[in-house]
Amino acid sequence: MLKFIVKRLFAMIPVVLAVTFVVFTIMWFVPGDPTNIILGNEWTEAASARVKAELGLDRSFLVQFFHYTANLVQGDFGISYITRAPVGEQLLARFPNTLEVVLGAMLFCVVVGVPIGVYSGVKPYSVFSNLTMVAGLLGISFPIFWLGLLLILLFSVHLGWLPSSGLEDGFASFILPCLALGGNYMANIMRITRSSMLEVIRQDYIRTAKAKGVKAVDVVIKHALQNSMMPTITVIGMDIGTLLGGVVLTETVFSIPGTGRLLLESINKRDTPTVIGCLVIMAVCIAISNLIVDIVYAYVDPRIKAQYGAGKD
Amino acid sequence: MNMEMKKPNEQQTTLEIKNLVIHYISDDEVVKAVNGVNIEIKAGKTLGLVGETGAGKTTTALSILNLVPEPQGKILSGEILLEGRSVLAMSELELEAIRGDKVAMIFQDPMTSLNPVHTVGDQIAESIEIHRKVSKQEALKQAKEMLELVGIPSERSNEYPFQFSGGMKQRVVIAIALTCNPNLLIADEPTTALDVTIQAQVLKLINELRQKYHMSMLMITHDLGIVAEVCDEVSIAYAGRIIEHGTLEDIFDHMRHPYTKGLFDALPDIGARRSELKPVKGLMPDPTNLPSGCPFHPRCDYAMEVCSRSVPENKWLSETHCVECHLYTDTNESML
Ligand SMILES: Nc1ncnc2c1ncn2[C@@H]1O[C@H](COP(=O)(O)OP(=O)(O)O)[C@@H](O)[C@H]1O
Ligand code: SF4
Ligand SMILES: [Mg+2]
Repeated sequence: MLKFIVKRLFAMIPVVLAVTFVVFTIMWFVPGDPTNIILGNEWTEAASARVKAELGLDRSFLVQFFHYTANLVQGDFGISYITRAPVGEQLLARFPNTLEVVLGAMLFCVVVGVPIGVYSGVKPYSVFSNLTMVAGLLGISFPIFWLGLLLILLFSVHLGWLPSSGLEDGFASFILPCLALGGNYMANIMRITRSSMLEVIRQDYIRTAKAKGVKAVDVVIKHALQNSMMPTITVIGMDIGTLLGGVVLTETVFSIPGTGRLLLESINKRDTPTVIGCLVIMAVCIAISNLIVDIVYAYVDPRIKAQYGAGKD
Repeated sequence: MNMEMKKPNEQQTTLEIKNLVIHYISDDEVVKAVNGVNIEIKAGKTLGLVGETGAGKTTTALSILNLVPEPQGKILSGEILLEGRSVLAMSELELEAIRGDKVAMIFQDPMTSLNPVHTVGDQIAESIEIHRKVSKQEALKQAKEMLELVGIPSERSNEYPFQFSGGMKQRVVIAIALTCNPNLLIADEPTTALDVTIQAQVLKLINELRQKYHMSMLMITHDLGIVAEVCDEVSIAYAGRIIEHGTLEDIFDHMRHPYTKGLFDALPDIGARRSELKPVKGLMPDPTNLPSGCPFHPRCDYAMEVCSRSVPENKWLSETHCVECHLYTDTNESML
């Protein structure tokens, strides 16, 4: 198992490099001269050339990419064109906020979505089950910004219960962003858990468990749950990417100083180093969450664990 | 092994099913799976329930544990008495107490009957924990003994079902079923899904353990060879009814029902070197749309005009032998 994890960690390196390359290339082809933004009103031919030389922008694409990656490997994300501060510092300051919003949304969705999915899968003909399906359908159809605005209108403007922006109020300030961000995610978790539970509950081994005299509750908890979790875990892991994408909107709607908003701002300002930095961080997050999903698989299903042990991926 | 010996009591009836009717009702159709089944098994005896796929055998078996699949499966009428107690009148708590303890079931497909994410040891121990109220360790210890009993080294109790072959899995299923020493063992085609070479071993194992612990058994099969080997009595099921019932001798040597005869004719006759099987001609009737009268009449070589009009009543030809067929309205002699 340990060998598997180490192997997977090493396998992440080329993935992250590939992402860096793609992002780097895209930013390279973005039209416009970055020195325009950096120098603003003070732009002159000479100043532009000087700044380019200073930032290494006068060199060829490959050389620039090579330099960037060489620095990146040492944890150096470069210098922001706008603030002239190291990108790494900005990321370090902003990323925890994003992580809190994403993990908060995830936790909320799992804690609420899984039990609802399980229940409505076990009792597929109940009114509750049908209600959750309607809610789920609405959940996946709501765009984040709209859901976010609705939540702000209701809980901040009308009821005045929760803050509508910033993070100054601690836990309370995370509630609405997590709800808005998690709407889709939770609906997905709910639907997939339900259909997987529907499938598992009519398997032969469930009948075997009942025939042994296992109590109805334990049939679900001890026998059905673990077997039904694979698709749910897959969705929880796979949708991290969607969550990280959604966080850009969420942080914007709720004015949260996180990497999502930083990314959006940097794109608007053509701040290439910051854009690349944000995206690389997100790529690393996705790669790590995929690894975590694979590890969790092994604990849920002994067949997969055996495969990892045997060294076959 | 905490299997105290039970004295077989010839007088006592382990299972009695009277006039059982079970339909699967869904929005667009009604599957008439079981249509008035009567079954009786005396203590320590083995009854063979024989019939083609779709005859309602599994449904009948599941009803004994009150486990007919919800919500479509509906037990519409009838009585199921387990040592005199009505199963259908039991509360969920009482049912849980008899399942796996008084009555245990071996299922047809060992590949899917075991939980893939639990070790086989845990799966056997679970029954013991529930019914014997012992600690987890004690249950695991007994589970290991049980594994040895069915011919699997106890060291393998920590392994998962995917690490076992089909025959081994069925041995585990048997261990689960027998671990609490049930009074009634239901074996639903326990060897159908296995390789021919393994079938005999598994059957022998079931039979030995059954005799050792004096269990009554309901052996569901479509294999008359198995019936001849392990059963005391035989019931032939067709379209959710028992159309003929008798002792092994009654059925094998003095069969009366045209369908029973068809089943025997379908056996490969090694003596006569007739190699090809001659299955009963025609198809099992559609259970959503059963034929009128005798359900066998569209396939029956002996069908008379009355057969499509009225359902033949059960007629006792002797103390032990009964048949549902219009041929025997006026006679007990064979009409075949
Ligand atoms: N859960 C179910 N829902 C609807 N119909 C079913 C269900 N289970 C079995 N049946 C139908 O009931 C009939 C009897 O099935 P079964 O009891 O499994 O017969 P056997 O075990 O003799 O093959 C078949 O026609 C089968 O298709
Ligand atoms: S009742 Fe008629 S149709 Fe049915 S088995 Fe007897 S002879 Fe054949
Ligand atoms: Mg069956």
